[in-house]
Amino acid sequence: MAVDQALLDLVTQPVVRLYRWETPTLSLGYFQATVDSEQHLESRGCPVLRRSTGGGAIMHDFELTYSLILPAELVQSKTSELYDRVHRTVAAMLAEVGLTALLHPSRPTVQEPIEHGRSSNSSAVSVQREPFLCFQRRAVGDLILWPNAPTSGTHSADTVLGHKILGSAQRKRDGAVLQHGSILFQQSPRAPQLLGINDFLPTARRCDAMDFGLELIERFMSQFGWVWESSCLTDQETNVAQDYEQTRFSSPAWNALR
Amino acid sequence: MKAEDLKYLESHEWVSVVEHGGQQVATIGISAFAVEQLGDIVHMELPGVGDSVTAGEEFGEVESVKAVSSMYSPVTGEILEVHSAIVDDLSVLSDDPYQKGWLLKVKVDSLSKSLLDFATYKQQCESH
Repeated sequence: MAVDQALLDLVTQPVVRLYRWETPTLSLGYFQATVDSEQHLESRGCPVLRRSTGGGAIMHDFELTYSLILPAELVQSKTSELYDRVHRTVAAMLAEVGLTALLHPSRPTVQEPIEHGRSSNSSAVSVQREPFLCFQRRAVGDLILWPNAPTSGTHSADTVLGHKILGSAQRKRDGAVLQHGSILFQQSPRAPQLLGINDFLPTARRCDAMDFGLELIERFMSQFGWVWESSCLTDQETNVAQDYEQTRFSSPAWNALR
Repeated sequence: MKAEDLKYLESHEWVSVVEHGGQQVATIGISAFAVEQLGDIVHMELPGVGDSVTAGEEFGEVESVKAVSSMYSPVTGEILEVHSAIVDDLSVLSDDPYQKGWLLKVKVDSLSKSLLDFATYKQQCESH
């Protein structure tokens, strides 16, 4: 995530990254309280870091993280359209393997009681207390899987809310945008409340996360007429990323910011 | 305050400067256009009284539609007042962005050199 942040600072052309995590890791949304992660028992003991993007916590385990970084001149004023672009592309790919996934159409529907504000010298507040995990929240444009029936495990049939399998969030800087997203591929013991794409597919048709991601990039880029090529970080990008890693994503002060 | 009487940054913050006790005091907020573009604002973080702000540099952050955005200061100076209560009721930002939706009052050392008048700012918004 330090690399994503460095690329946001230095972006001159669209960049897409795909990655998975060596160690199952919990990432908090930028405004989430660290203390909330202590209430999520299944992920206890996992490394915790704070993203610079918004939204809820992600358990990075059996999932694929993508980041999309666009320079200001390519960003539309309604940046939420970027969510839809990626999510519709994934929905189309899932349709090809026989799964129905739809963009969530309305305002959040899953909420806990209102949390009272807290103030200090610096003022920050959460106006409504949403579920801790991103994938238990519902926001406009989230990609929700509507399976006929799960094929593995014993799960409560979620016929009302469906199963969110892709959520994205953004950080804006001087007009440029970093969009993070997570595609769930499989249920994790560290977040057993959530099912992934492969939990709804027979073994022979299960998706390889990285292959899926590469196909997603191809399709996403072709929508814009962009041709992508793989590249390495420049020395400058590497230096800035190392700085962010030290000052933010490996820093207890940053990760326990709230 | 009327939108027409304010100055703006390209990044959508507004500022009104008045003389108060021989000192220039700036009131700062974010424009109606910004609030509309951001959508449903769910979190806001503001600095504290006594902190310094610098023209063109970040003074706070908002989250809306899972997107975190920075807010930039139109002036350099020391913060005299913070509208802390607004973070408990962010709907004020859309209901009354230029009066009850103010965010900071700052003792002005200097103004940004990039302030736009209303007509120019409006033109910028319309070109989006």
